[in-house]
Amino acid sequence: MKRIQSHKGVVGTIVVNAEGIPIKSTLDNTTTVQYAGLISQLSDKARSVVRDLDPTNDLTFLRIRSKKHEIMVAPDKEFILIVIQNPVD
Amino acid sequence: MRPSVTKRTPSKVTELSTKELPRHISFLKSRVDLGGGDMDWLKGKVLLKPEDQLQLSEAELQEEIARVLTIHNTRVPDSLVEWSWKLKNFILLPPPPHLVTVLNVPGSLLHKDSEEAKIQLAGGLVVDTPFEETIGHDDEEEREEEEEEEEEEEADIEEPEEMKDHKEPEHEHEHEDEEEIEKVKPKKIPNQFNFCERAALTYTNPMREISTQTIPPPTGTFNTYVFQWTIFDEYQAYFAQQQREKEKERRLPVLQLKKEDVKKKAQIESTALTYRMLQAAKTLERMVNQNIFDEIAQDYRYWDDPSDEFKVGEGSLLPLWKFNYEKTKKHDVTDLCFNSRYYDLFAVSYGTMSFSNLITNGTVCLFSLKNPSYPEWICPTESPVMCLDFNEQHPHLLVIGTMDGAIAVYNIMLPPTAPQYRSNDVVQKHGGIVWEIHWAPDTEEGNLAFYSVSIDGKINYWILSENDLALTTVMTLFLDRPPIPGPDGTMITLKGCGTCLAFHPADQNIFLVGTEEGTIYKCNTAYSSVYMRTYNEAHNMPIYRIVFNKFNSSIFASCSGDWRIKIWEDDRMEPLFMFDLGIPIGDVQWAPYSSTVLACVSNDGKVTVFDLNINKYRPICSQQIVSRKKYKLTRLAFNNKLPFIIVGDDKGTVNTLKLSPNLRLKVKPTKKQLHLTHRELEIMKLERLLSFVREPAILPPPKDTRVET
Repeated sequence: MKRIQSHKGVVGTIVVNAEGIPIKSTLDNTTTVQYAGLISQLSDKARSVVRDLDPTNDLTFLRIRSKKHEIMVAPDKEFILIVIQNPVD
Repeated sequence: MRPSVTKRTPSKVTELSTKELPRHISFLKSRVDLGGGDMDWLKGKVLLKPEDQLQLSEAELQEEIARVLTIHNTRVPDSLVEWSWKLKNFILLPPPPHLVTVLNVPGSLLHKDSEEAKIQLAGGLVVDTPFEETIGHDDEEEREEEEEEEEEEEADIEEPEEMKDHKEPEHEHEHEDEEEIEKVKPKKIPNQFNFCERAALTYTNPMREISTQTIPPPTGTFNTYVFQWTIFDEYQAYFAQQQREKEKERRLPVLQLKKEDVKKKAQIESTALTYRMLQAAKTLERMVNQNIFDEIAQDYRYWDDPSDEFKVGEGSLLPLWKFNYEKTKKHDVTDLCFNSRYYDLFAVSYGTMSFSNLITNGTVCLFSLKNPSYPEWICPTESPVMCLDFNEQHPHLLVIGTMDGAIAVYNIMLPPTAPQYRSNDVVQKHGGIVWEIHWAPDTEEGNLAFYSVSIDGKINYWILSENDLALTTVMTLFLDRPPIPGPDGTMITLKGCGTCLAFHPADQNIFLVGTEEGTIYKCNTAYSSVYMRTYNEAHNMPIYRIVFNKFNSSIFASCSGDWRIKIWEDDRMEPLFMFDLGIPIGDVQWAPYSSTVLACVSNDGKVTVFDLNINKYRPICSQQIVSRKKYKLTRLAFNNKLPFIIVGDDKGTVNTLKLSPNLRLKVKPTKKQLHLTHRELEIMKLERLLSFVREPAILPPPKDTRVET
């Protein structure tokens, strides 16, 4: 995790548990909570889409590219890893 | 005097009506005419004319006929006469009355003063006569009607009648009181309009309201969506449970180690979780790196130097990522090897080339192109690592040779804590630096095996059995020099210091060994004491690498610290080609895609690429990769799949270089050769090239060509 954080352009990393509660974060409290809540909802929805198309399939990663950041999400059953990166320095 | 008024009005009315009548009729007539004319356009019907109807001309039809309305009734004859037999003369009759009786209904009302009424009132008959108050009024009406009747009958005698009427009402009023008294006695006539209503009011019960409120039962909202996959998961879980129950039934007698099981389960789960977590983190790191090095990644796949189209026989190298690991910045890259399964994965061994260096440890790192910033797998070793090799059939097995002569085999799927196999430090080891190591084909029993060459002049054959390494020394390199006397009278035969090893691609028993003395020995594993051939004085300095051509197994190249690259053909003592770069050459490799391309790295930080097919004397590319003063390039490896090479330097950095299109020219088949495969074409190309070079075998050997770089 530290290594990821040390990479160029990485704004923050968040680890969220299954209940959507952030466990580890390098961001400030409010941002972390906001990201954790929204991203866990989104990844649930995205997983549901993938699984609805094919129940044997599963969501592994999610990249959200926005104008300012790229949010990379690794959703699992028990945790969600979120990395926010600023690709253009 | 109401009656008089009432009397006169009807007469007036009658007069009016009679006079108005003709007017009405004429009006009606005109309406009819108009209507008839107007309706023509409305309904498309033709008027049927009676045949005897007068035919009128258009002018006549248009003629206006004026009608005059008069107040005089023209229908009434105004001069009726009658013959009077009495007078024997015509007497003028009065004009007929204007009144026309339309309806004549005799009424059943009686005047109360009349005889008939009196009889009724006396109680002779029960008649529904109107009650007292209205009687008078009724009488008047009755009278009027009677008068009307009279009028009809005898219109002439109106005057006397009127006089009677005037008297009668007066009379009536005088008698009214008397009559009322009289009427109490006679029979009471029921009055249907006179009734009364009776009602009783009961007590009303006062309203009472009693209400109680209970504590509402606790409620909770629950909502969820059911998707197809939810159902699928439920079924899977159900199926798994069924399987477990079945197993339980089987195992029922052996149910004891419960607590331990639970503990183990928890442990397994937690390790699985951390593994998944690591996996996710790894992928995220790769994504981050992909974003950082996006441009390089694009170049790596898609960019080809466009200027190559205009340059004939020249190419260039495009630098891509640089790989390094913080802890090995002072180490030399001593060997590079691509994995056979994952083309993006390669192993780098960190050791040292110069022996004045005080570095005493080494590292093996696996890098992936997907994560240029950090190694995928790091294995620190006690001694500098000098060489390594991936097994082709078992791409997870990596063998390394270290400076202290030890050998270790790692399974890169496991964490790099301890090697899977390790040579015994006392019994089984080389006496010096292991310079090169190569996997051999599996033994007949199916065990894995590899060869290693060391500076102690021994070539060892190692077999991996169940849990240990078995060692056989295949060959000891004795020099063809007379033994020299030892310190206490013994004679010592000098050994050659093996520095590199190359196995014949077709015949796995034959191999070439290069030594520090510059000699190349061709050996066979079957004869441990005899050289098949010796290339004496092949180089003047230690040979750093010998490589067989990938397409023609009788061609091999060697490079050395004497600045030269030589290309040899088997069984020919003189080299076919010789290139002098003027600087020690660290490594040479044949390209996997072309039979005539080879690349080398030199100590001045240059990568030089030759394509013998294009230019037999000069390189087609010589490019400075790293700073000449600071760095030396040590090793080089071609990727087997994509057109790029990796180059290691003496500061622990591995550079990735993309070959421009001119450096990877492939043979274009002519029309006759279309059926041939790429490999056959490449072999043919090399053969053709060799046929030019072989001929001057009788002539003096070709002069060394100095390449001006």
